[in-house]
Amino acid sequence: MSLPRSKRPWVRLFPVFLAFGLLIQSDAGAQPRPLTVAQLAGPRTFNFLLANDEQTNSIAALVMGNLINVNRQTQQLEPGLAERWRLSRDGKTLTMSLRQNAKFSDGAPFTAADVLFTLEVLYDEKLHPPLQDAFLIAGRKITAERLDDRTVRFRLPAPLAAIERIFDGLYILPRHKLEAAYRRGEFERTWSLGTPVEEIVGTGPYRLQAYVPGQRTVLARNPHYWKRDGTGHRLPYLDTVIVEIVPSRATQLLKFQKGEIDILSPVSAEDALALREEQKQGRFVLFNAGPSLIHEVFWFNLQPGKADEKKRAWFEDRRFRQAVAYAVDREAIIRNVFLGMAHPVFGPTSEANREWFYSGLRKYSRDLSRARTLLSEAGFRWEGQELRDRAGNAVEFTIIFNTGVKFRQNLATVLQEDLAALGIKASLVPLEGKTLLEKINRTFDYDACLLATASGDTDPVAESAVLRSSGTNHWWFPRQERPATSWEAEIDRLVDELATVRKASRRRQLYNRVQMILSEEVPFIYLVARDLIVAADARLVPLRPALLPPFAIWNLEELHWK
Amino acid sequence: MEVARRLLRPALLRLASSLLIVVAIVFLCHGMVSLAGGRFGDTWERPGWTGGATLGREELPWYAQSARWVGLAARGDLGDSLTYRRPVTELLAAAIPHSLALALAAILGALALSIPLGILSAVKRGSYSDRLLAAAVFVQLSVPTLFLALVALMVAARTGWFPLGGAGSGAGGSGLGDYLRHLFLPTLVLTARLTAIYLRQVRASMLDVLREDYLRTALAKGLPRMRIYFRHAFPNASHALITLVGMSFATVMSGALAVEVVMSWPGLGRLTAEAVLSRDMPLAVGGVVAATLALLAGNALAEAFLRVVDPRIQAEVR
Repeated sequence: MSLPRSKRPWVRLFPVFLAFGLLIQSDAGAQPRPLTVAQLAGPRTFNFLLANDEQTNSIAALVMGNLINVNRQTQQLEPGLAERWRLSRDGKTLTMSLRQNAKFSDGAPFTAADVLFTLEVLYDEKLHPPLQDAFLIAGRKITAERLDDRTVRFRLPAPLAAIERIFDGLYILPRHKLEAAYRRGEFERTWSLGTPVEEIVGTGPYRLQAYVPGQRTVLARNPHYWKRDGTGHRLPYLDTVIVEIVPSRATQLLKFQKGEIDILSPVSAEDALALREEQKQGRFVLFNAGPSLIHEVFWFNLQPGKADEKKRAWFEDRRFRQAVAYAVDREAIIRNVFLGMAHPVFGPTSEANREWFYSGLRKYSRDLSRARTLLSEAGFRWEGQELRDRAGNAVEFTIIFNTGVKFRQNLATVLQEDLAALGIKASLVPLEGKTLLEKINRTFDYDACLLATASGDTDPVAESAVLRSSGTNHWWFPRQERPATSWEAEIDRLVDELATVRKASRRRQLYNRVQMILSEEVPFIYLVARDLIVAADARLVPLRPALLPPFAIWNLEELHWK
Repeated sequence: MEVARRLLRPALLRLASSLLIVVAIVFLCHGMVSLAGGRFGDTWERPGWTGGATLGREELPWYAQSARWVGLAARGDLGDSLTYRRPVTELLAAAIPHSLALALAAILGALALSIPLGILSAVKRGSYSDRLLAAAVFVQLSVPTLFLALVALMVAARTGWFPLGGAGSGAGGSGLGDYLRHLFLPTLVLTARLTAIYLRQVRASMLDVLREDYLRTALAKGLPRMRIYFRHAFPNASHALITLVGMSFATVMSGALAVEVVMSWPGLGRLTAEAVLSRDMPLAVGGVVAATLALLAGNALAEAFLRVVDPRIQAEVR
């Protein structure tokens, strides 16, 4: 005999929901045990709109709220302070409906006025917050109007394909706290690290509880946070989060091993190897989220009038660049430099970027005979082991790279050996970070550079500064007045269309073409994408490291101790 | 009147020379950082940038920046940090107490160890204990502080006796006991190095003094040995040590970078190094000037102390 089964699925699943709810309530309700994470440096300011560093942004992500989120795991959009939104057919009007119940951490209601105030500060020419350029469409501002307290209409000067995604980075400022200082022209000095923490309010899951200069930032649960879990329990679960400042990675590792830090992110390949054995004890778990969006790249300086003329002639020859790309042994790099914890890349996207990865690119696997053929076709010849150009000049150049990153020094050495196999003499020049940036940004007095590029989003629009010939991060020849080559002109056209077209299939087609051109012309020689590895206390659930920052704690509001 | 003039003149001369040193350091600091290349804005500056009133100063040549800095500092304004957008004085005020605590603890610890051991080493010259101490000094001076700091941290991790860095624990900061517990390990590392330096100095000075006639007379008269060494010999052998301590005060105040980074100690060295690396010129210059002032203060204190322990110096002034 069996009990009659209800036809309504929710009735059948009720005991499951109840059990789950009780589990969450009992285990994850108020959790006084704090979560401790570490940063290499402390926040630079609590004026989050003016912040442009990783440390401050990771605190901002916990304290402040945005209108639309990019889910770090699915890489898709999800509602934030905007409950829903609608883009007009012509792509020039975006209307957002704001949450009814959202409040700032001091209990003040969040309204459309806060959104308008945030936009006003964002577009302030004198302040020029770092995010301002992302909100300029063809150099023009987005305007906003308040339809009522809960509705805001944005008017775009031109359609922008990924318009919703740019709102992910825009933290909504509390007008009631900041407007007076802004009107007095004191915004830049407001919400500094010296401001009493109770003055700093946001709509994020946490509020600032304490800041000890040079030591730690303590965050406490925001009692007014709008988000609730499936059972109606207000998030976040953890009462306190401590962000310790630990400037040495070696010390961070020791503190993690001793249990003084609960999450270590990102973990270097060497540290991962050291932790692998210890993991068996069950105190913590290691996650390898696969290839990250950080790519190691190598490029030649194509800026006219800067490099030696004979060298520039080599660097400008596509066959020379392709030959170098074929000379690189990516497998050896992965094996020896990253201890197997990296993946080869041949274009601007890796498999990590599910939406935009294009597998049809030319694979530059190590092939010295092909490299030699390309060099011969380009007029190079060998005298003994030494490669010489048409005029008999020995092919030699310097590679600059930044100090302070151990694996990059090793990578440069492998690259040097790979080039030597072709008869090219590459001298390595390690430079301190700022000096290197000055060379590639301003003085351009270098031959070749080894560095990493990192994407802030998976959508190719985020890559505009690299792809466009006028882009600041078009490192091989940045800020061109007009495209120097026909292929760069074509990429410019494709990127322009990519920025405005919304049809997914067309956008994919356009970006595949961009990737094809980059793969053929190799202005960047893409090397490897290192894996994103995270270690965390095994009792912390549900940990789902994502490839976009803040990698391990993007879902901190859901994390709890089991 | 005559006495006042005699005391006032050297004091004024000392002040004037100190100010000149500070000004020279300011120019040197700006010049050296500009030679290194790179600007604060390099990491984040974008076309169309118009804001950041403080950033505009970077466009000035280094000597103009120096002159501007000196002019503002004369009015008590060290400028705002480009990184933190806060007055440099506030940032220095947060870091200096930690550096001061570390410096004093390390120096006192080193003195407590190096004076008796240095005297022992000199008195027992050529003995096994002397050789053992010489070897220990050699090892201490050879091992880089960074390495020592890492080893100390690993021992702490293994044993759990000490916290792994920082200046306090827990969410709500810490009490004095907790602070001292955190202070112990960085102090130990710095003390180890300073002890070696001081011990060598005490031994060499004591060897010179022990050859003096008055000590031989005291020994012949049968005075207790401890009294002879500590009461009569050491004060006369301490001049060089006092000067050395004065100078090492500044070194430890601003130069304990390795210890501060590895042990997450929020001191002046770390703050200044971060400022130099990010080309935050106002903060970098503020940090360097604070270190210079520490050196001058250390020297002045050492000189004052020398006058206390050696009446001959007082007599010279009179």
